[in-house]
Amino acid sequence: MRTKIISILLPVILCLGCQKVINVKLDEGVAQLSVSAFINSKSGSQYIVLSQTAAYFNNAPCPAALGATVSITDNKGNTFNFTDYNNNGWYTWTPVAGDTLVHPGNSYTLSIAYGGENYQSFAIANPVPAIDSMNYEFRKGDNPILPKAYYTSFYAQDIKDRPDYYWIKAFKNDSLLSPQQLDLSIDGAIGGPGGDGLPFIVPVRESINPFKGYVLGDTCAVELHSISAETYYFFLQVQIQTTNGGLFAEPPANVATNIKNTNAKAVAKAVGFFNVAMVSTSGKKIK
Amino acid sequence: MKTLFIFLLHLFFSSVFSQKISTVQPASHTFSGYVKDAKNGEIIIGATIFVKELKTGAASNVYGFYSISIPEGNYTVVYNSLGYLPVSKQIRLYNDTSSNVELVEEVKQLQEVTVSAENEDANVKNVEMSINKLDIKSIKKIPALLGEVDVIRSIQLLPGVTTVGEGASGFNVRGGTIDQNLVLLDEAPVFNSSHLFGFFSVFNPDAVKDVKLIKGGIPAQYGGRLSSILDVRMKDGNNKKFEVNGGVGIIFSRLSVEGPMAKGKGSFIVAGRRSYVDVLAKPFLNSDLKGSKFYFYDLTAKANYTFSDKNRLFLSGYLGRDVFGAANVFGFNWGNATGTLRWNHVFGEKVFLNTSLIYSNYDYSVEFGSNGGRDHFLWKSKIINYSVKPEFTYFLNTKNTIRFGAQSTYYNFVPGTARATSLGASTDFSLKDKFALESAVYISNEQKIGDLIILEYGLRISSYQYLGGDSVYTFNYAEPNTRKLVNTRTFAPQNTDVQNYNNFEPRFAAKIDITESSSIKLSYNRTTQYLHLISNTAASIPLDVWTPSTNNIKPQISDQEAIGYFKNFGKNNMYETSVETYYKYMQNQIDYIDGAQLRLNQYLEADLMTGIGRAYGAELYVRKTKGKFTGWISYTLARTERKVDGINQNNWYPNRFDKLHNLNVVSNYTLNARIEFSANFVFMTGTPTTFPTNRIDLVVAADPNNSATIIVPHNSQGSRNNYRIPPYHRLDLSVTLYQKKKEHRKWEWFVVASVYNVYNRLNPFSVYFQQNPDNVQQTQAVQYSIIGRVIPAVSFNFKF
Repeated sequence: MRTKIISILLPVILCLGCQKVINVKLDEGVAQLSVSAFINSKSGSQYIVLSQTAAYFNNAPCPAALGATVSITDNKGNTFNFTDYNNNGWYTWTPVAGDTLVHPGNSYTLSIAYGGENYQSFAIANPVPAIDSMNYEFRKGDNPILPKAYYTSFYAQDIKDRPDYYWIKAFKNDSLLSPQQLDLSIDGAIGGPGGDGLPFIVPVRESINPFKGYVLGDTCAVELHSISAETYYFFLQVQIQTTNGGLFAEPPANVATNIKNTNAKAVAKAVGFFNVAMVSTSGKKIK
Repeated sequence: MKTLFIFLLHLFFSSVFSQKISTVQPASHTFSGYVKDAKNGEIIIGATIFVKELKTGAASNVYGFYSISIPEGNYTVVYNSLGYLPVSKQIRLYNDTSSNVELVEEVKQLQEVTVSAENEDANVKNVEMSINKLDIKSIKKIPALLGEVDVIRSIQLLPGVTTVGEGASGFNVRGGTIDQNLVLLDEAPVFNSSHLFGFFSVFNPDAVKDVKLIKGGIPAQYGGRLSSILDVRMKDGNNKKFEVNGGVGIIFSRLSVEGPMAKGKGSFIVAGRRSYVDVLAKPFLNSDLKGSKFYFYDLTAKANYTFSDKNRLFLSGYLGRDVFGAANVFGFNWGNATGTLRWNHVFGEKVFLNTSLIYSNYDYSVEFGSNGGRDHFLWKSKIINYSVKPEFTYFLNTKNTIRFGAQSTYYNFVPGTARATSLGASTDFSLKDKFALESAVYISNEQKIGDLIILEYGLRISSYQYLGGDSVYTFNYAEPNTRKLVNTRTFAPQNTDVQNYNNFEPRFAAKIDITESSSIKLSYNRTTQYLHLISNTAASIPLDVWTPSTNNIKPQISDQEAIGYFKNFGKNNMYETSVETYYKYMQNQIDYIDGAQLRLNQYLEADLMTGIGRAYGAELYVRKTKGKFTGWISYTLARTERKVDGINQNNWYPNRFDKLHNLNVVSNYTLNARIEFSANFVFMTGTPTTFPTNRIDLVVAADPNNSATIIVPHNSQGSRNNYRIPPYHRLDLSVTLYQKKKEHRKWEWFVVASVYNVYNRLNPFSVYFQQNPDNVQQTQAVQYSIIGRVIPAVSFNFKF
């Protein structure tokens, strides 16, 4: 948020900063197993997507990693098997009616057998506070950056006496807002601790608005996911590394992974992340 | 190092010993005084005092004071300073004698322009090396971005100096980071030298007298930073008559007033600048933007009073601030405040004492919402320090000048005062203050051996205490480039000792004349730095926090050796040239784990790593100081690298500011008394950066109806800085038109028209990789430029 303000201000002030798409030639790399395992407590099917990393300028989605054996076990002795029904790398667990995979406080182990290697990861389901309410208001001109429109807020109270890491997803008319951005918060505050036990602060409360706000008739829905500290910092790195332009760019570096080859000496290493989240939801129609 | 130390001790005592022997010879007397400018009473730094009969001499120090001890007799003494007419004096030296002299500025009638305050052969004859001096006159001749004369931007045109890119805050000296430069404004450290995130520096050119950059052979009286000293000296103010200077530019308007106090015994200067984009824009903004704030200002003031030839007092201060924001939505401001009280005292005729009391404060604040409202977030941070510094210069005899002194600085770090209020409920999550005491004692001697050799050798002993006031942590071992976990936590009460570091910092420099107009110089110095700027971005942000060395953060140490060849040629040594090579080895260089949390983090130390650094290079410098055509060419061939466990597979990698080639051509041509042209050209190798090899398709929302994929760049080799962005080059031009000269005209003006980036090059600042916004399944490389166009500017300047 803070660097966002700086990056908005600078070009406005100087009308100078400019971007240009260029051609560069890149080194060749090695393909690795890429794991997207963001499991949550929502009802319905859960998906783990496996692919292989491809050359950066490969202009199609990365090839799927097929033929893997994927399962999650929890500390209560349950095993959840994930099957690639459509042969597209989307490994799916489908519950019997009313069942969910994730329960607060449980711990989960992800196991993947692929290409003769075994990978594992571990995660705990952290609790999430309920979203108490949502509201909206019409604003005209009290904020010089945002246009005149309806803006929504959601209200939730951070869980006291523990560091909580949140991932906030907003949906406008049922479609995910800014799908390439990750909206993160620690203790319902910005950039660091400080909101412990408080209602989520502004501007986190208002982070669910599209840049141009909402218009009459729109619906706004919010999902609040509890994530682990490791996932929070992983997402933060993902955000930094995928929007790393400007005067205050951070050094380009690989993002972390919590997917480990069970044979520590193996050359094959996976990338990607595993998180299990509790989710609370809410929605509002602008009328 | 031990042998060197013993060698230096030996030299020192032998020089004092030889002094005793010399007492058998005819009685010596001291000849001393001050050198000043006849027009405005400004002291002249570096003027030479030459005793013709003895072919020996001295130079005035930063306070204009000189002292020389010679056998009694009758002498002809010549005072000389470039840009001034020489003054010759007959003296009968049978007692200690004091003589103040005023030099008259050379008039422009010969169309001779001189742009250096240095003596004609100082480049070759001084023991100083790796030093660049710029007086404000030459800085003002360089074409400037948006027409704003800028000290830091001018420094960047010198050999051995680079920057991470256009518009970035600070500068890099011989492969050092920006926090390794000690930036002094009248001896007070300036912790952030930038306005507007780095586009302009905080020094008001109307109040600056001269600027000296020390890159190597750092004398013993300086310490506390690894790589360089930027010593900015303020004008004292005209003590003969009142004078008003001002200017109207694109960014700033400036005004300064100076004049005599107490019948010429003292003088003062007050100089202010304010940006005025906001003032000009206000009538054109619609009501939505009326509450927005965007301005920066600075105020520089200085006064001095001469009690007698033996006592002089100076008081100087600086206050500056940048303010951005929108009323009740967000606010962001930062600024420095410094104050220096100095007392010059001369004991007898031979010992000069300057005692400085220094205060410096850098602070910033970030705010969301309205203060006192139900929703508010406020975060402040600052670094305050108080320093006392007595410095003695003992002009022992014509062969030896001994300097000794001490400095002690008390630091108060306020890493973050933070408070969040949400729906009326608030929490305070401020970090505790940190405290430290940094002290040093030093002694050095500048010794002439025969006519050809000058040595300067000294020792600085620095001592640092990290004091209590905050929790003290120890951490468990963690894999390199991962976050460390807390092992123990104890609270250290205020003013208790938590951690001590002591360092011996030997300093050595030598000059050996080869011919009348050429010399070889060598130097070695060790420097230690106890403060660190925590910054992980390409350009430093005003929000970056300074942090002290602790039990977990060791002080940075650097050893530098340099050797150079200096030669002057042409009529009156109008061409100064030098070639210098250097090698620098740096320990305990701070780096950051990937995804480090650098702000408002009480476990900051857990996210830091350390490594080693090395920098080496050659600097070529040619300067023409006289004639209608003046200027310099500087070329630097250099490398700066780092090695940190956990980065680049533990191999050496180039720093962000590593630039193999760096060429600067700065020129000025005086057509006639009214018109001057200036041009400068810059070429730099592109900065290194990390390019990915692969893409990771991270499916962050795996929902068949609403899926979202983020493509993350990935380097499967784990390389750092494996590529270079295209080179940077730029040409700037300016023309200055002066008012017609007339005797006794009260009011003078001049207009400067400049063009920055004449051939409109889109110079890259960085290249980054992203998902194509128009087709999120594809990727692209984007070149980012800070200033991607030609920028013309005009400024009007006046004086009365």
